[in-house]
Amino acid sequence: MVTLSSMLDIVLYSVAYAAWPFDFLNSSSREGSSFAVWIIAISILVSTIISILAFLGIAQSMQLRVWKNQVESRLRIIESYLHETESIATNKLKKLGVERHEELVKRIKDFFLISPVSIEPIDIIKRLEQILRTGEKHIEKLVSEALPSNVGEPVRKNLTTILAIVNGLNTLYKYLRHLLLLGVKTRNAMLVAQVWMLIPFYLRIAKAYRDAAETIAKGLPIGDSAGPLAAYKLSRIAKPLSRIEEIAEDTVYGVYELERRRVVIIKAKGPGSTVGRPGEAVEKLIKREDIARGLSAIITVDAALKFEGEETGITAEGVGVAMGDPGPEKIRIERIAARLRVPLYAVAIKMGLEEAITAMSENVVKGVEDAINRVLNLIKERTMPGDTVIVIGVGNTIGISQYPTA
Amino acid sequence: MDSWLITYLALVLVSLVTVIILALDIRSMRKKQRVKRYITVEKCYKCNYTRTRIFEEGDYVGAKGKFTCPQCGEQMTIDAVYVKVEDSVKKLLLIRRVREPASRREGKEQQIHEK
Ligand SMILES: [Zn+2]
Repeated sequence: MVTLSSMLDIVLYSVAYAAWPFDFLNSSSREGSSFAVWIIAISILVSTIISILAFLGIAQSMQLRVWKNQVESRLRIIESYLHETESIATNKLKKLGVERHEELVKRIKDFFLISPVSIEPIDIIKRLEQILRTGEKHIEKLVSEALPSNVGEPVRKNLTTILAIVNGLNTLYKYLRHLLLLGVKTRNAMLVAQVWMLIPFYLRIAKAYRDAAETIAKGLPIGDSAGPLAAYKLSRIAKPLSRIEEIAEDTVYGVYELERRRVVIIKAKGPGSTVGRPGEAVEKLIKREDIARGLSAIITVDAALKFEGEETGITAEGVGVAMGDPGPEKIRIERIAARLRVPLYAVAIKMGLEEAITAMSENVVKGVEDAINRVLNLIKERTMPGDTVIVIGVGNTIGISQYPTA
Repeated sequence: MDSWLITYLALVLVSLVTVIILALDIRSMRKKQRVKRYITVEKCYKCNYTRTRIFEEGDYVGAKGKFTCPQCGEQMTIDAVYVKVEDSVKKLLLIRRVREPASRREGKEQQIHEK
């Protein structure tokens, strides 16, 4: 601020004496200042020319060039993130002994999904689910066909996720580049300006993606694993009544006794990277007479995006299904709850976008403990002894297994 | 030299200095060097004893731990894996950090078990 105010002083000072140069131009009697007079005269001329050019639209095209340069430099950073993520994937593939790794990466890099027709809403959820599952299965199959048969499930799942990240980064990079080039080609300054304004956000996302690939390659839990971690920790403090069973693809459940209630805990099957199918799992469980009869609450625990300024790891409770899926899984639980008239409770563990997809921080681990307390309170306050409660740990279960082991 | 010429030159100088300071500021913002350390927490579910160690690839929550409980001899289990972001060693040497006492964390865990 000091420099700013002193600058202001000088500006004011020079404005007060602005008449000087013209004074000098008139009186040629004074000597020794002609050099300075020329400097002033030339700068006035230059600024006049520039302001005339500004009216002719030159300023805008100059501005366009500035925006373009800045967007380009940031795009280069995103491109370097893409290359880094690709090399993480290829290194991992090479390590596992895959020979045609480049072909596999290239094939998945440009993979795309086409969203279903939305002007006709009937059965859109089913159609969306069909597309999403086909995509998921297709990539998984491509990976497992390329890998040698002795590679374990967690490694395979993690690799699939890393390749999906490569795909996401590639799509983001290509889309931003497309907007920039289109804007420059059509000399559309506003289009370039939009990209220029948005690119800092995308840069953040791209960096988070790159870090996510690194984290997943190591098999570390990510912030989004808070839900499954809460499910695991809850199952550790409860008394298991059954073995863990896989009920839907990549999704497991166990029945426990906790606070004299029967608690069914559902989570994705760890420790590989997967979110499982919690909706389908609840749907199948509800068909079992013993669970549907005494069911008095469905509690979902999930990582949620915090607002800027909020602290990471704080928890909050609410109602509804806490789940970040595109719809198919969430709607299943909502429909069941509506049909059986079972209350839906949600516990959220808050974190930023970067924290959600990169390694879990200590605050989130503390948040998980808080979330467990909230779940216990909900069970004690809102249900009676002898009731059945379904608790779902929603999220990616990378780095987190289940108890008791299957 | 006239005084107004000095003013003019001073203006140029001041704006140059401002630009340099801003540039340095942006560079220092970029150079915020932080070190990530991955920590594995092992816990004894019998007596709630916990201990931490550096993460090794292959560790996951629910896996058998490396240690046995020093209090009751039970096999410990990995209870959490998290990242700790710390300032670089250079900064750590300059500024001493106060660590949170471990008893607070353990106290919290015991609370859950009591309920
Ligand atoms: Zn012990």
